[in-house]
Amino acid sequence: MHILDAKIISNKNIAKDIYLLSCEAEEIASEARPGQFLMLKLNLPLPYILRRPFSICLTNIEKNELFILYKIRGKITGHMSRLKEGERISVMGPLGNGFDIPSNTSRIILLGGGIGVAPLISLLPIYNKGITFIAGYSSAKEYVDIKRIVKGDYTYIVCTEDGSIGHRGTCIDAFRDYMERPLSDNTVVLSCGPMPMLRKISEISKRLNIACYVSLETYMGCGMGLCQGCVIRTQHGYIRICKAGPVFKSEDICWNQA
Amino acid sequence: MLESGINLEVDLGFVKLKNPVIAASGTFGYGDEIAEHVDVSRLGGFVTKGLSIRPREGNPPPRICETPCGILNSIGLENIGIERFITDKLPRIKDLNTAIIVNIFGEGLEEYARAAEMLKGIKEIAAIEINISCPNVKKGGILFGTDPKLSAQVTEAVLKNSDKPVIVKLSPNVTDITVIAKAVEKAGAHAISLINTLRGMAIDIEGRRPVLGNIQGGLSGPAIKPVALYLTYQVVQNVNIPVIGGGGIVDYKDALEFLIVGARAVQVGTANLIDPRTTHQIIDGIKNYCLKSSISDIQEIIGSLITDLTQKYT
Repeated sequence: MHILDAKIISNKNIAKDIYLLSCEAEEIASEARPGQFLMLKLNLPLPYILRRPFSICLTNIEKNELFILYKIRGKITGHMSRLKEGERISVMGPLGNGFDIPSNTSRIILLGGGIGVAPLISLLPIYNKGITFIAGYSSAKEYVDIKRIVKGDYTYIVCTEDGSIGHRGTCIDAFRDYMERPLSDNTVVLSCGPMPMLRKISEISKRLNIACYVSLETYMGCGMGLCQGCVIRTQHGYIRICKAGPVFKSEDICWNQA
Repeated sequence: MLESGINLEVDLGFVKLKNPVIAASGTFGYGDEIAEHVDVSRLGGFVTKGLSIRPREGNPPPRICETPCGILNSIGLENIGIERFITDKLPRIKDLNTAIIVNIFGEGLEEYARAAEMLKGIKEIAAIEINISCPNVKKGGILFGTDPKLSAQVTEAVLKNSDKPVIVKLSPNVTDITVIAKAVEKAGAHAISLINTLRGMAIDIEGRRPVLGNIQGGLSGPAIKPVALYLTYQVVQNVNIPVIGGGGIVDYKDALEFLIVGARAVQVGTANLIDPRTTHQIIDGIKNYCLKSSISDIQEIIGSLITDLTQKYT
């Protein structure tokens, strides 16, 4: 884990309220694994004090670059969207466990809801060809053209709730349709998005008897396991999302209490 | 410890700290995980997460939220229990070369006493800090900390069952903190630490629900510093045992304020969550302040408050 004053290389608006920020953070970029996260602190005066968690979207080790895909949600992300090239942010990371994909996996399905696509993108440069990426957005305005972020032969299925681009419906609908075809053994589903979506994905995966991992998004105090603020109820009791997660086997989560 | 010719060592009577900066309970885990990231040996000491005789799973989430200049938490004293602390954590922290203070609490006098007893004979523990001030649990905690008689009884019960110096951590959620401070001093406490969090709450106006799963929580961070500082000042004026001050300290200037009003050492809490190197920066900052002000010993700062305001600046 490192804490760096990272220089911003670019901060581009790529969809409605969605930005792709890249910064120079050598030690973090070289150590980061897909699915891990960062705690960011902008150079803001009080009243803001805590860092905020963000997924690592991509790394470019040759250029010591870290990419963060984020959505404007509140005041801090609002400030973040106005950061310019050359400015600095404090980046702490890499944190958390990341995706641990079983070695005998023959097919990977990524399921992202809205900005939940961010951590899943980090898997594309590694697995690329065998991957099917299903992403759901509310409309074409929020659509993230992932193929422009990571090129490759993976399949990108897009759906929007209003049908303004791709299939009409949610990514849960698209997932259901997709899973009707014959499945190869050792299929793994990796998902990130709002809690109700993850609960549904978990149910479907369980019914189809396929391995499912979820990356949980939550408010965090420290991101290092110190405060015990970000727990989730699991089969083993309350577990710190920042330390034991953010990626969990979906069957470990007590969904009725999450 | 002599660092660049400046003596930062403070003597609490029962233990000497290499400097006056202590990491506060609940913001430093059990010391083992954070030791992977920062050099804990530089600290005067650290206080463990509050421990009870049995493991506790804590309050339902959400447990933490940010409010202006502060954070509200309702962790609910989640902890692994003293037994597992001794078997799993102690071996990993005992050689960290800093004062280890173990924070304990219970749901009744017997549990406090038993907790103290379970830590008997462990020479690596420099002191016990009794939490009589947690606002986030229904039984125990603050119930004791708001009543001078009960505060004294808990202190006595722990002292009777312990071979360690005892620090009592006071709650700010009282009408007159000096009454409680004097009560625990009389009961035999070796030192007082303060403040624990201030009771507070936050509402999600869209859902018209409390933000915290426990409805109410404890406020910490810069928002509470002026309150903490005044309470520390008041307690220092009213007791003769060492006082460890804290509440909202984020930098060396904050720490100095507490030392100037007479705190023998300071506790840094919430700031650790933002940057685990904060305690180091505070130690360095105090050292630089001493250098700049030609102060060779931290003792020259402790309790150096000038209240005669006719006295001119020198």
